[in-house]
Amino acid sequence: MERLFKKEDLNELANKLKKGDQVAGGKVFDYFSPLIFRFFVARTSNRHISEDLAQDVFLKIVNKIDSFDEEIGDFTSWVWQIARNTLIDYFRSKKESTFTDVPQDLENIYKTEEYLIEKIKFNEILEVVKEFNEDEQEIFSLHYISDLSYKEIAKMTGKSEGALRVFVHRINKKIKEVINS
Amino acid sequence: MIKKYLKNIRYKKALKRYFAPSQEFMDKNKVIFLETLKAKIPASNLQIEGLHKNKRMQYAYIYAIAVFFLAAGSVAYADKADVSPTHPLYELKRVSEKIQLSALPKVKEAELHEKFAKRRVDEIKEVKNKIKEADSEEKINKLQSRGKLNELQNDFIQETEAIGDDIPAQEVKKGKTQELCKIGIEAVDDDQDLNKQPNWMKFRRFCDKILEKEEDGIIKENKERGSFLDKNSKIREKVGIKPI
Repeated sequence: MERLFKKEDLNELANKLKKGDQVAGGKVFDYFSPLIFRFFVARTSNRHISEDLAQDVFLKIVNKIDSFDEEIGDFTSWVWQIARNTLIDYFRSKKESTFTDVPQDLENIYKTEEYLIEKIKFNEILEVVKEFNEDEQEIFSLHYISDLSYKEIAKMTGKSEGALRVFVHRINKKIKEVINS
Repeated sequence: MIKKYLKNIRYKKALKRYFAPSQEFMDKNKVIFLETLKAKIPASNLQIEGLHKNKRMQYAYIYAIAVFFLAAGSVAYADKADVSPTHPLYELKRVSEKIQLSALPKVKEAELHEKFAKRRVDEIKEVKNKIKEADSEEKINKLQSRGKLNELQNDFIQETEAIGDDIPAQEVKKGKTQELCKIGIEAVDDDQDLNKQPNWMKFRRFCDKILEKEEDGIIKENKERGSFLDKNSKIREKVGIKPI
């Protein structure tokens, strides 16, 4: 479902959503929901909190859809801005972030993956990510986990695409060090 | 180098899978999202909006549906009322006949062809009566009765011939054709113009043949019956019983 829509298609879906189109609503949900959830899990390290936050985002989409104007910006940026603001609000209320539910979920991945991933190494990666500063963590979750392009992240964060490439290069380097150690 | 690259991709994929939402959450949350959407923006808004946006198309669509239902009703009426060839809905009656024929299995089609052939005969009679009743040539031309009669005559021939294609049993086919020949000839017999039509003349020859055979058969049967009666009366005479 992911990466199936062009910018124009998503804007069209948004316009249909404004009119209460359930089919368009379903498509918007299927497209954005996994991306936003992954972004939240990567940032909060907690699935339950991420579920609540993702749900919050979609309720905000419905409540604010009338304010969306494609002349001002595209729908993707608009949705991600809501997701990002939701997360900022969450961090304001609770600053701590730990990978509390990692071990249990990792067990499931090792069982289902065709290839085996060394459990310890995976934990190490997550530990490295945890050590990232706030900007790096955000870019890691958006680029690495939610697959957003540099252009999309630049629109959301206000950083230039060049600066983002430097960030991603730095993140990649740190992760690769763990993987190849 | 490639090995390291693939390893990197593998971990990236594993990370994505690790961070993916559960299907249960997706399903549950989708329902909540769509229900909220429904409550906030009723779907009826969409239809009204759609009507305004493509107003012409919407009206054309409604018009087409209305025409369809009107036409369907008219077709049914025209068939049920068995309207005459001069009636405005006559063509719809013929449409109905075609629809009925296309919806039936081959064997059943013969029954309909027979029914429609009889209808054509009745229509020929009806039109002929109208011609007799018409007090001016102008009226006849206006009704296009002459043209209609020729058409009806040809349609009758076609329906009768079609029975032969659909009934496999020779005897049943012959019996039905003989019956139609009789009523067809009876309806057209007093009309010189219709009798001179090439198609009709050919059909007439065919009818004469099968009716002749029928006549021969009856005569033969009567003769056989007669000889049986003769024999029977002779026996009766012999034993002293009065002849029948």
